[in-house]
Amino acid sequence: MQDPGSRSRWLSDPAAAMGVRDMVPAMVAMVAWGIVTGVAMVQSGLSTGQALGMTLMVYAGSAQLTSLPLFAAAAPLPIIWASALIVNLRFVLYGVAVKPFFQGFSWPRRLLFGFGNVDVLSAEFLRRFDPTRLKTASLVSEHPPGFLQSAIRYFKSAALTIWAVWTASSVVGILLAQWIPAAWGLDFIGTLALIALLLPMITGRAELLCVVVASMAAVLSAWMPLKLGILVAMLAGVIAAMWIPEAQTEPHHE
Amino acid sequence: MSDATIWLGLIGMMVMTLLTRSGIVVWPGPIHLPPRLQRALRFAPMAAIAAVILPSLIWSPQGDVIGLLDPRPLSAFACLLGWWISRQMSVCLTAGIVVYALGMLAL
Repeated sequence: MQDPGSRSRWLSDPAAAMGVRDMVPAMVAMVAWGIVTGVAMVQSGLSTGQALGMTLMVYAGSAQLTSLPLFAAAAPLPIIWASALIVNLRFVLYGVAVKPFFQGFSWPRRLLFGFGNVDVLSAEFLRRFDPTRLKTASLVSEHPPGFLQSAIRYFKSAALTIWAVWTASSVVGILLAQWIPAAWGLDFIGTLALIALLLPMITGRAELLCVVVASMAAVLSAWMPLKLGILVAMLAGVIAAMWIPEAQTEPHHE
Repeated sequence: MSDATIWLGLIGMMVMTLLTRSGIVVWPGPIHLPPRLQRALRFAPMAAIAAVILPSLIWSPQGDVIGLLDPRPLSAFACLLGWWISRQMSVCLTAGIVVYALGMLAL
Protein backbone atom coordinates (compact mmCIF):
# COMPACT_ATOMS: atom_id res chain seq x y z
CA MET A 1 0.00 0.00 0.00
CA GLN A 2 1.24 3.49 -0.83
CA ASP A 3 0.63 4.51 2.75
CA PRO A 4 2.76 7.59 3.34
CA GLY A 5 1.87 7.65 7.03
CA SER A 6 4.56 6.23 9.22
CA ARG A 7 3.41 4.46 12.34
CA SER A 8 3.57 7.58 14.47
CA ARG A 9 1.56 9.52 11.93
CA TRP A 10 -1.27 7.10 11.79
CA LEU A 11 -1.68 7.04 15.52
CA SER A 12 -2.07 10.82 15.66
CA ASP A 13 -4.32 10.84 12.60
CA PRO A 14 -7.84 12.18 13.25
CA ALA A 15 -9.41 9.24 11.38
CA ALA A 16 -7.46 6.74 13.50
CA ALA A 17 -8.47 8.57 16.67
CA MET A 18 -12.10 8.56 15.54
CA GLY A 19 -11.83 4.82 14.92
CA VAL A 20 -10.85 4.26 18.55
CA ARG A 21 -13.47 6.68 19.90
CA ASP A 22 -16.25 5.02 17.92
CA MET A 23 -15.34 1.69 19.51
CA VAL A 24 -16.06 2.77 23.10
CA PRO A 25 -19.52 1.14 23.43
CA ALA A 26 -18.22 -1.84 21.46
CA MET A 27 -15.32 -2.15 23.92
CA VAL A 28 -17.78 -2.47 26.80
CA ALA A 29 -19.52 -5.26 24.91
CA MET A 30 -16.18 -6.95 24.16
CA VAL A 31 -15.09 -6.80 27.81
CA ALA A 32 -18.36 -8.39 28.97
CA TRP A 33 -18.51 -11.08 26.30
CA GLY A 34 -14.78 -11.70 26.25
CA ILE A 35 -14.86 -12.54 29.95
CA VAL A 36 -18.03 -14.62 29.61
CA THR A 37 -16.58 -16.54 26.65
CA GLY A 38 -13.29 -17.08 28.47
CA VAL A 39 -15.11 -18.51 31.48
CA ALA A 40 -17.34 -20.68 29.26
CA MET A 41 -14.39 -22.16 27.38
CA VAL A 42 -12.68 -23.27 30.59
CA GLN A 43 -15.89 -24.53 32.18
CA SER A 44 -16.73 -26.64 29.14
CA GLY A 45 -13.51 -28.57 29.73
CA LEU A 46 -10.93 -26.95 27.45
CA SER A 47 -7.46 -26.65 28.97
CA THR A 48 -6.05 -23.16 29.57
CA GLY A 49 -3.81 -23.57 26.51
CA GLN A 50 -6.66 -24.72 24.29
CA ALA A 51 -8.91 -21.91 25.47
CA LEU A 52 -6.18 -19.36 24.74
CA GLY A 53 -5.62 -21.00 21.36
CA MET A 54 -9.31 -20.83 20.55
CA THR A 55 -9.56 -17.15 21.43
CA LEU A 56 -6.48 -16.23 19.38
CA MET A 57 -7.14 -18.47 16.38
CA VAL A 58 -10.91 -18.46 16.00
CA TYR A 59 -11.69 -14.87 17.11
CA ALA A 60 -15.43 -15.30 16.63
CA GLY A 61 -17.35 -15.26 19.92
CA SER A 62 -20.65 -16.65 18.72
CA ALA A 63 -18.99 -19.51 16.82
CA GLN A 64 -16.82 -20.27 19.87
CA LEU A 65 -19.80 -20.42 22.22
CA THR A 66 -21.75 -22.59 19.76
CA SER A 67 -18.86 -25.04 19.48
CA LEU A 68 -18.32 -25.54 23.23
CA PRO A 69 -21.19 -28.01 23.84
CA LEU A 70 -20.08 -29.86 20.69
CA PHE A 71 -16.51 -30.22 21.99
CA ALA A 72 -17.86 -31.28 25.39
CA ALA A 73 -20.01 -33.95 23.72
CA ALA A 74 -17.06 -35.07 21.54
CA ALA A 75 -19.02 -34.36 18.35
CA PRO A 76 -17.35 -35.33 15.04
CA LEU A 77 -15.04 -32.59 13.77
CA PRO A 78 -16.94 -31.99 10.50
CA ILE A 79 -20.02 -31.14 12.60
CA ILE A 80 -18.00 -28.66 14.66
CA TRP A 81 -16.53 -27.08 11.53
CA ALA A 82 -19.88 -26.91 9.71
CA SER A 83 -21.57 -25.22 12.64
CA ALA A 84 -18.74 -22.66 12.86
CA LEU A 85 -19.18 -22.01 9.14
CA ILE A 86 -22.94 -21.49 9.47
CA VAL A 87 -22.71 -19.26 12.54
CA ASN A 88 -20.08 -17.17 10.71
CA LEU A 89 -21.98 -16.85 7.44
CA ARG A 90 -23.09 -13.29 8.22
CA PHE A 91 -19.46 -12.17 7.91
CA VAL A 92 -19.55 -12.92 4.18
CA LEU A 93 -21.90 -9.98 3.64
CA TYR A 94 -19.63 -7.66 5.67
CA GLY A 95 -16.77 -8.81 3.46
CA VAL A 96 -18.69 -7.91 0.32
CA ALA A 97 -19.51 -4.51 1.80
CA VAL A 98 -15.94 -3.55 2.83
CA LYS A 99 -14.06 -5.24 -0.03
CA PRO A 100 -13.78 -2.12 -2.26
CA PHE A 101 -11.65 -0.37 0.41
CA PHE A 102 -8.95 -3.05 0.41
CA GLN A 103 -8.48 -3.76 -3.30
CA GLY A 104 -5.09 -2.02 -3.39
CA PHE A 105 -3.48 -4.24 -0.74
CA SER A 106 -1.50 -7.47 -0.98
CA TRP A 107 -3.42 -10.64 -0.19
CA PRO A 108 -1.84 -11.22 3.24
CA ARG A 109 -2.90 -7.72 4.24
CA ARG A 110 -6.42 -8.34 2.91
CA LEU A 111 -6.50 -11.58 4.91
CA LEU A 112 -5.70 -9.59 8.06
CA PHE A 113 -8.22 -6.85 7.30
CA GLY A 114 -10.89 -9.50 6.79
CA PHE A 115 -9.93 -11.32 10.00
CA GLY A 116 -10.41 -8.11 11.97
CA ASN A 117 -13.76 -7.25 10.41
CA VAL A 118 -16.08 -8.23 13.27
CA ASP A 119 -19.72 -7.13 13.68
CA VAL A 120 -19.24 -4.04 15.83
CA LEU A 121 -16.39 -2.70 13.70
CA SER A 122 -18.17 -3.34 10.41
CA ALA A 123 -21.30 -1.58 11.68
CA GLU A 124 -19.47 1.62 12.71
CA PHE A 125 -17.06 1.58 9.77
CA LEU A 126 -19.72 1.24 7.08
CA ARG A 127 -21.78 3.96 8.73
CA ARG A 128 -18.80 6.33 8.53
CA PHE A 129 -17.49 5.31 5.12
CA ASP A 130 -19.77 4.63 2.19
CA PRO A 131 -18.04 2.25 -0.26
CA THR A 132 -19.99 3.69 -3.19
CA ARG A 133 -17.90 6.85 -2.78
CA LEU A 134 -14.80 4.97 -3.87
CA LYS A 135 -13.65 4.69 -7.43
CA THR A 136 -12.64 1.07 -7.08
CA ALA A 137 -11.12 0.71 -10.53
CA SER A 138 -8.06 2.71 -9.60
CA LEU A 139 -6.82 3.99 -6.30
CA VAL A 140 -5.06 6.84 -8.05
CA SER A 141 -8.32 8.42 -9.13
CA GLU A 142 -9.57 8.06 -5.60
CA HIS A 143 -12.35 10.48 -4.87
CA PRO A 144 -12.77 12.50 -2.75
CA PRO A 145 -9.06 12.83 -1.99
CA GLY A 146 -8.04 11.35 1.32
CA PHE A 147 -11.28 9.43 1.73
CA LEU A 148 -9.69 6.04 1.21
CA GLN A 149 -6.72 6.80 3.45
CA SER A 150 -8.95 8.02 6.26
CA ALA A 151 -11.05 4.89 5.89
CA ILE A 152 -8.02 2.62 6.10
CA ARG A 153 -6.60 4.40 9.15
CA TYR A 154 -9.98 4.32 10.85
CA PHE A 155 -10.34 0.61 10.12
CA LYS A 156 -6.83 -0.29 11.30
CA SER A 157 -7.06 1.53 14.61
CA ALA A 158 -10.61 0.36 15.33
CA ALA A 159 -9.80 -3.25 14.38
CA LEU A 160 -6.67 -3.31 16.57
CA THR A 161 -8.60 -1.78 19.48
CA ILE A 162 -11.41 -4.32 19.30
CA TRP A 163 -9.03 -7.24 18.84
CA ALA A 164 -6.90 -6.16 21.81
CA VAL A 165 -9.88 -5.58 24.12
CA TRP A 166 -11.53 -8.87 23.12
CA THR A 167 -8.33 -10.89 23.50
CA ALA A 168 -7.40 -9.31 26.85
CA SER A 169 -10.93 -9.86 28.20
CA SER A 170 -10.96 -13.48 27.04
CA VAL A 171 -7.64 -14.07 28.78
CA VAL A 172 -9.04 -12.53 31.98
CA GLY A 173 -12.08 -14.83 31.69
CA ILE A 174 -9.89 -17.90 31.10
CA LEU A 175 -7.53 -17.18 33.99
CA LEU A 176 -10.21 -16.11 36.50
CA ALA A 177 -12.84 -18.65 35.42
CA GLN A 178 -13.47 -20.13 38.86
CA TRP A 179 -13.95 -16.71 40.48
CA ILE A 180 -16.53 -15.38 38.03
CA PRO A 181 -19.94 -16.93 38.70
CA ALA A 182 -22.56 -17.01 35.94
CA ALA A 183 -25.00 -15.53 38.45
CA TRP A 184 -23.44 -12.14 37.87
CA GLY A 185 -25.22 -12.08 34.53
CA LEU A 186 -22.24 -10.37 32.95
CA ASP A 187 -23.32 -11.44 29.46
CA PHE A 188 -26.28 -9.10 29.53
CA ILE A 189 -23.96 -6.09 29.96
CA GLY A 190 -22.86 -6.95 26.42
CA THR A 191 -26.44 -6.65 25.20
CA LEU A 192 -26.82 -3.26 26.93
CA ALA A 193 -23.63 -2.08 25.23
CA LEU A 194 -25.04 -3.17 21.89
CA ILE A 195 -28.15 -1.07 22.57
CA ALA A 196 -25.91 1.93 23.32
CA LEU A 197 -24.01 1.23 20.11
CA LEU A 198 -27.12 0.81 17.97
CA LEU A 199 -29.26 3.77 19.08
CA PRO A 200 -26.87 6.49 17.80
CA MET A 201 -26.81 4.71 14.43
CA ILE A 202 -30.52 5.27 13.88
CA THR A 203 -30.14 8.59 12.11
CA GLY A 204 -32.80 8.26 9.41
CA ARG A 205 -35.91 6.44 8.28
CA ALA A 206 -33.95 3.74 6.48
CA GLU A 207 -31.94 2.89 9.62
CA LEU A 208 -35.07 2.88 11.76
CA LEU A 209 -36.93 0.61 9.35
CA CYS A 210 -33.90 -1.68 9.09
CA VAL A 211 -33.60 -2.02 12.87
CA VAL A 212 -37.34 -2.55 13.43
CA VAL A 213 -37.68 -5.13 10.65
CA ALA A 214 -34.50 -6.97 11.68
CA SER A 215 -35.62 -7.07 15.34
CA MET A 216 -39.04 -8.45 14.44
CA ALA A 217 -37.59 -10.99 12.02
CA ALA A 218 -35.13 -12.06 14.72
CA VAL A 219 -37.95 -12.73 17.20
CA LEU A 220 -39.93 -14.69 14.61
CA SER A 221 -36.91 -16.77 13.59
CA ALA A 222 -35.47 -17.23 17.10
CA TRP A 223 -36.43 -20.93 16.97
CA MET A 224 -33.87 -21.62 14.25
CA PRO A 225 -30.66 -23.45 15.21
CA LEU A 226 -27.06 -22.19 14.76
CA LYS A 227 -28.01 -18.48 14.84
CA LEU A 228 -29.63 -18.86 11.43
CA GLY A 229 -32.31 -16.51 12.74
CA ILE A 230 -29.72 -13.72 12.81
CA LEU A 231 -28.94 -14.36 9.15
CA VAL A 232 -32.65 -14.23 8.28
CA ALA A 233 -33.12 -11.03 10.29
CA MET A 234 -30.08 -9.45 8.68
CA LEU A 235 -31.32 -10.15 5.17
CA ALA A 236 -34.77 -8.83 6.11
CA GLY A 237 -33.22 -5.66 7.54
CA VAL A 238 -31.05 -5.06 4.47
CA ILE A 239 -33.97 -5.58 2.08
CA ALA A 240 -36.11 -3.24 4.18
CA ALA A 241 -33.38 -0.57 4.08
CA MET A 242 -33.19 -0.87 0.30
CA TRP A 243 -36.84 0.00 0.17
CA ILE A 244 -36.45 3.52 1.50
CA PRO A 245 -35.13 5.79 -1.23
CA GLU A 246 -33.27 8.05 1.24
CA ALA A 247 -30.86 5.21 1.92
CA GLN A 248 -29.67 5.56 -1.67
CA THR A 249 -29.17 9.30 -1.84
CA GLU A 250 -28.50 10.44 1.71
CA PRO A 251 -25.30 12.52 1.79
CA HIS A 252 -22.68 11.02 4.02
CA HIS A 253 -20.56 12.85 6.48
CA GLU A 254 -17.34 11.37 7.72
CA MET B 1 -11.62 -36.02 22.83
CA SER B 2 -7.85 -36.25 22.57
CA ASP B 3 -5.75 -33.11 22.71
CA ALA B 4 -4.79 -33.51 19.05
CA THR B 5 -8.43 -33.80 18.00
CA ILE B 6 -9.36 -30.63 19.89
CA TRP B 7 -6.49 -28.70 18.28
CA LEU B 8 -7.54 -30.00 14.87
CA GLY B 9 -11.06 -28.81 15.65
CA LEU B 10 -9.72 -25.36 16.55
CA ILE B 11 -7.64 -25.12 13.38
CA GLY B 12 -10.70 -26.02 11.31
CA MET B 13 -12.72 -23.34 13.10
CA MET B 14 -10.00 -20.79 12.38
CA VAL B 15 -10.24 -21.76 8.71
CA MET B 16 -14.01 -21.10 8.87
CA THR B 17 -13.41 -17.65 10.37
CA LEU B 18 -10.88 -16.82 7.65
CA LEU B 19 -13.11 -18.25 4.93
CA THR B 20 -16.16 -16.22 5.94
CA ARG B 21 -14.47 -13.00 7.07
CA SER B 22 -11.52 -12.79 4.67
CA GLY B 23 -12.57 -14.99 1.74
CA ILE B 24 -14.38 -12.29 -0.22
CA VAL B 25 -11.85 -9.62 0.76
CA VAL B 26 -8.89 -11.74 -0.40
CA TRP B 27 -10.64 -12.80 -3.63
CA PRO B 28 -8.56 -11.03 -6.32
CA GLY B 29 -11.24 -9.71 -8.64
CA PRO B 30 -13.50 -6.79 -7.79
CA ILE B 31 -17.15 -7.61 -7.17
CA HIS B 32 -19.48 -5.42 -9.17
CA LEU B 33 -22.74 -4.80 -7.38
CA PRO B 34 -25.50 -2.40 -8.32
CA PRO B 35 -24.91 0.78 -6.21
CA ARG B 36 -28.32 0.34 -4.65
CA LEU B 37 -27.34 -3.08 -3.30
CA GLN B 38 -23.84 -1.93 -2.33
CA ARG B 39 -25.38 0.84 -0.22
CA ALA B 40 -27.99 -1.44 1.32
CA LEU B 41 -25.24 -3.86 2.38
CA ARG B 42 -23.92 -1.14 4.68
CA PHE B 43 -26.95 -1.91 6.83
CA ALA B 44 -26.07 -5.61 7.20
CA PRO B 45 -24.00 -5.40 10.43
CA MET B 46 -26.46 -2.96 11.97
CA ALA B 47 -29.30 -5.39 11.24
CA ALA B 48 -27.31 -8.30 12.70
CA ILE B 49 -26.67 -6.33 15.90
CA ALA B 50 -30.35 -5.39 16.15
CA ALA B 51 -31.21 -9.05 15.66
CA VAL B 52 -29.25 -10.01 18.79
CA ILE B 53 -30.90 -7.47 21.09
CA LEU B 54 -34.68 -8.01 21.10
CA PRO B 55 -34.61 -11.83 21.43
CA SER B 56 -32.24 -11.52 24.41
CA LEU B 57 -34.82 -9.27 26.13
CA ILE B 58 -37.57 -11.85 25.60
CA TRP B 59 -35.76 -15.15 26.23
CA SER B 60 -32.97 -16.07 28.63
CA PRO B 61 -29.95 -17.91 27.14
CA GLN B 62 -31.60 -21.10 28.41
CA GLY B 63 -34.77 -20.33 26.44
CA ASP B 64 -37.14 -19.30 29.26
CA VAL B 65 -39.43 -16.30 28.77
CA ILE B 66 -38.04 -13.42 30.82
CA GLY B 67 -41.10 -11.28 31.63
CA LEU B 68 -41.35 -7.49 31.75
CA LEU B 69 -40.32 -6.87 35.37
CA ASP B 70 -36.94 -8.53 35.05
CA PRO B 71 -33.75 -6.39 35.29
CA ARG B 72 -33.00 -7.18 31.65
CA PRO B 73 -35.99 -5.50 29.92
CA LEU B 74 -36.03 -2.77 32.61
CA SER B 75 -32.39 -1.87 32.02
CA ALA B 76 -32.88 -1.94 28.25
CA PHE B 77 -35.73 0.52 28.77
CA ALA B 78 -33.40 2.67 30.91
CA CYS B 79 -30.92 2.71 28.01
CA LEU B 80 -33.65 3.85 25.66
CA LEU B 81 -34.80 6.53 28.09
CA GLY B 82 -31.22 7.71 28.71
CA TRP B 83 -30.64 8.04 24.97
CA TRP B 84 -34.00 9.75 24.46
CA ILE B 85 -33.28 12.41 27.09
CA SER B 86 -29.57 13.06 26.59
CA ARG B 87 -28.66 11.84 23.08
CA GLN B 88 -25.38 10.77 24.71
CA MET B 89 -24.13 7.23 24.26
CA SER B 90 -22.42 7.35 27.66
CA VAL B 91 -25.61 8.37 29.49
CA CYS B 92 -27.55 5.68 27.64
CA LEU B 93 -25.08 2.93 28.60
CA THR B 94 -24.61 4.12 32.20
CA ALA B 95 -28.37 4.29 32.78
CA GLY B 96 -28.75 0.73 31.52
CA ILE B 97 -25.87 -0.70 33.54
CA VAL B 98 -26.94 1.07 36.77
CA VAL B 99 -30.54 -0.19 36.48
CA TYR B 100 -29.31 -3.69 35.62
CA ALA B 101 -26.86 -3.79 38.54
CA LEU B 102 -29.50 -2.50 40.98
CA GLY B 103 -31.98 -5.03 39.64
CA MET B 104 -29.53 -7.93 39.98
CA LEU B 105 -28.62 -6.86 43.54
CA ALA B 106 -32.29 -6.56 44.50
CA LEU B 107 -33.04 -10.11 43.37
